[in-house]
Amino acid sequence: MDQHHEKLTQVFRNVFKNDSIEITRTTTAADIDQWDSITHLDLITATEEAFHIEITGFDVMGLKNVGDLLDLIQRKLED
Amino acid sequence: MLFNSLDFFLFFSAVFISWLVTPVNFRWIILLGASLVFYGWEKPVYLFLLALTILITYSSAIKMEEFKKAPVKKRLFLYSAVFVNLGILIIFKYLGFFTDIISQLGTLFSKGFSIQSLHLLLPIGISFYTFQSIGYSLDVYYGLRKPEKHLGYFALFVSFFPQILSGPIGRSNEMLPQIHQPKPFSLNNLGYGLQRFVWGLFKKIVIADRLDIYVNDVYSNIPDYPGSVLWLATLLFAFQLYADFSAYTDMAIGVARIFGFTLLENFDFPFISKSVTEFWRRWHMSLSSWLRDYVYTPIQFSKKKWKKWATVYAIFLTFFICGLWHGAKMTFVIFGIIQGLALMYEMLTREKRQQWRENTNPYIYNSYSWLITFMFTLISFVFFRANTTADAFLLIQKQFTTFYDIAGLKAFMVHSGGIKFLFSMALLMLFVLIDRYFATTIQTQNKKAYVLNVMASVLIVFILLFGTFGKVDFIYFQF
Repeated sequence: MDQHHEKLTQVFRNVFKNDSIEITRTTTAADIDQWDSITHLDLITATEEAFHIEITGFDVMGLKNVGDLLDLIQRKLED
Repeated sequence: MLFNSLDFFLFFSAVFISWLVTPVNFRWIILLGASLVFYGWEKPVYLFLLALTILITYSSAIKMEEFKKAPVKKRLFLYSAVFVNLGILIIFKYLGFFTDIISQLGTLFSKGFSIQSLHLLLPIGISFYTFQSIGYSLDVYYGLRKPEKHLGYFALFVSFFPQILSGPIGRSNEMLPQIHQPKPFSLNNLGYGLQRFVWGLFKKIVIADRLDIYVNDVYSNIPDYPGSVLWLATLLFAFQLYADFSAYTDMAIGVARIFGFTLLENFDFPFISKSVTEFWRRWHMSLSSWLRDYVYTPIQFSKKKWKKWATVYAIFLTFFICGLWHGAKMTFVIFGIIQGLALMYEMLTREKRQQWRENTNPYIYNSYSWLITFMFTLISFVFFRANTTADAFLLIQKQFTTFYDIAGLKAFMVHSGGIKFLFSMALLMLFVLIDRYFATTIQTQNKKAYVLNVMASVLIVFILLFGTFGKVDFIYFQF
């Protein structure tokens, strides 16, 4: 799980072009300035590429915070 | 039933007393009964439609849970709930619009073509409660909410009287837990609710209804007025619409709070926005977040492979729907489309504008951004208010040709009552000045009790002295 966390932090930093971003399981879109309904797609596609998984619209609807996203990544990798 | 009517005052008093004397666990029965009486007040027959929405949405959600391991069947129950709710909305709200379009197209090809125009009377609140119900079905489908097993609770969720006519559009995860865990009576809630209600009443009858007279006069006689007056009327309409709709929201939130419920907020000072994107985060927030979650995001992710064009496409479709949601008229469709175009522009120029911002004096950049956004909002509201598309275009054309006609503006002020008109403008100015302070203070209760009581008393004095007592419907009742 920890390595996912590290990798995902890197994804966030690349997408939002900010190397000081730190994420925790409770981080939400409200905590990161640039994270809105427009950049959300970039974030998800970058996550898909980094982890070699496919995330559908159905999966996205259930995400409330970074913790949910980490769980989703874990679930997809296990499938 | 209007919130600002004697009927409502009597209705509310009766409901409040019955609610108070009923044990906490049975109070939902009082609120549900009250909601049905409230909704059926003028046209009891619409209760059948409401019952249909409640029953179909309720039972299909339970079926979705039952078939959660059978995706095809589960989806079938989702579709049937959405189909029924959208179907009701389309038949009552859009059938006339579509038959008119078909009829007009028909006459292009054959002179004798005619089909029956089907304009049904629009059941009040239908756009709000059907959207709330569709949101619930999707929440259950996506696994964000377990289906509600208690039919009475669910019926109250759909029909809760403070919000059924004009929102805020509630969400299952925010409303249903509150229905399950009813809060006891509290003096704090009563105080908060009454303050919020009085603030709303002030905005409705001291500000909005006063402006309605002038706006209505100008928008009904566009050819008679020069551009200068049309600008003024357009500016006044923006404040009328904001005061009217946010007043309704304040009263709905206030009434709900008295019964222990916290509804979603709908407005966050939209006219200070420095971009159209920001505007939609501050204007009718319960609708824009509903559209974001149930229309925009699913469309955007369904076209994920298109990269940024998926977002552009999703924005456009979402705002086309947003326009149409407001009413079955071409003017609203255009309103939605130009809002969508502005948002697409902002999305595509994000990085470019970021560079401009970094290279410009922030004060100049922010003022300029605000001005452009506000002007855009005003122009788009012309389509929101104009009776026909032709009216809207004529108005905008005149705004850009005879805007300098100061004599015409003076004549309009004299004809609108002279001193009385100026007094209305002074009240509007007062509202603009106090809006942020009053709204924030009441919402956050961040001042001592006596300050809040003084504020409420001042508002009551203004209501009694300067209120327009009569029957002016809330603008959003027509949606």
